Amino acid sequence: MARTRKPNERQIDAALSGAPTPAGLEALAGWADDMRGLAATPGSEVATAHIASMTSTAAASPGVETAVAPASRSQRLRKRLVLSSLLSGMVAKVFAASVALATVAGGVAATGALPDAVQDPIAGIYNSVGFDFPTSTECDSDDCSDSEDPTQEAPTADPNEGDGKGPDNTNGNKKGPDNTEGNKNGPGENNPNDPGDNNGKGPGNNNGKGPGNNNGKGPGNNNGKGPGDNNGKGPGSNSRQDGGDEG
Amino acid sequence: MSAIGPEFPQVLAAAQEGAEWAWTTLYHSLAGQLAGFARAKGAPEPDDVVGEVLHDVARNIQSFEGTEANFRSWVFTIAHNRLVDQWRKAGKRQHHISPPAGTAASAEHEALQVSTQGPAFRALESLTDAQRTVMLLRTIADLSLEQVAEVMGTNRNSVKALQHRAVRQLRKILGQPVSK
Repeated sequence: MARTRKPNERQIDAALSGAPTPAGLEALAGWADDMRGLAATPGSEVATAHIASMTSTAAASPGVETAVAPASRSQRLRKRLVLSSLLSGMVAKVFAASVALATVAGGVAATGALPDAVQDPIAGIYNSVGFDFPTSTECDSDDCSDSEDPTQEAPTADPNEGDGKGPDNTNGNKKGPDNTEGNKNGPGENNPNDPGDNNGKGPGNNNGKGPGNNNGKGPGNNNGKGPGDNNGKGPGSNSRQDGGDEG
Repeated sequence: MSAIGPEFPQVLAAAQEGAEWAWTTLYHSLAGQLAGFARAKGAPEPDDVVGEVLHDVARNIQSFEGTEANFRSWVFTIAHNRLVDQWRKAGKRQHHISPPAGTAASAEHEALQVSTQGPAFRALESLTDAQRTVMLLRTIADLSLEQVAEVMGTNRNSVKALQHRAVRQLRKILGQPVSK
């Protein structure tokens, strides 16, 4: 079989469109003619019905539509999935930010340190669900900054025990440079046997006494066991009495 | 089945207003090619495909803006997507060319029925689905490479490569010397 030059784009265009065909492409041009022969308008009755349907549809269609060809069902479904995943991601972020804000606000509100205009509404919210946040009328003295509750576990006398009385929880970290020593002192505090006790001192974990901790009931803290560590009741907790600091 | 030409803007505006004469013009310029495209792609009821595609066109015509070439690309995009959806639903590969439905015993339909058995269609069936789509849009729909790329949702170079391979295969099947 003799080798021939590869037809260029213009020659192929001519062969496919029915224009005068270059030599060597006659069969291709004939094939294209056969394909065009398939183009037959539907019968008159069918055509009349189609035209009537199109006319009425166009007259009734709304004024605003996309100018792009309608997407296939799979394309529409993909768009919906992308949109829903984006929305769920945004919703999740907004939710997480709200939870974080509520945690911080709740923690500060537990000490009564917020301005009166803010303290009361926030205290009201938390008190309605079982917490015991001081209101502005109860926080006229400096005592309100001491979130110690006599009904709670007795704090250690040593301020360096790090029972987390202060709003910054740094008290809880004074036992040792690495906080681990703080776990070895004080009843109910830094007890290495306390399940998942995170030194009892870090932020959010002060035997329920510091920010983020309200007798273990504050956000992210239950019984002062640390964020995510709630006697096996919260995320990441193990509830086992294997002590150990998870700080 | 011919291009509308310079009168297209007036026809489009009238069609958007719901004028029957405009839709008749658009129908006769497109229906035959749509039917042929659907037929070559193996649609069991090509006339139904024509009706469904043009119904979609009518439903969205209000906001269409563009030239006649844009319009034809849009119409065949709808047709292509509809046929792809149909075949995916049926779980079939598009390789069987449907003979024309015997609704009208016209000489034209008889000629079509005969021609679907010939070597041209055996050659068409030797192509891949993508190659077949390119060649049918180039011949039956008379679309350019750019328009075909728009219909298939790809770029011109991909369409050109598909066309090149399809032409090579067709020439081989049809018995013409093929360059190496």
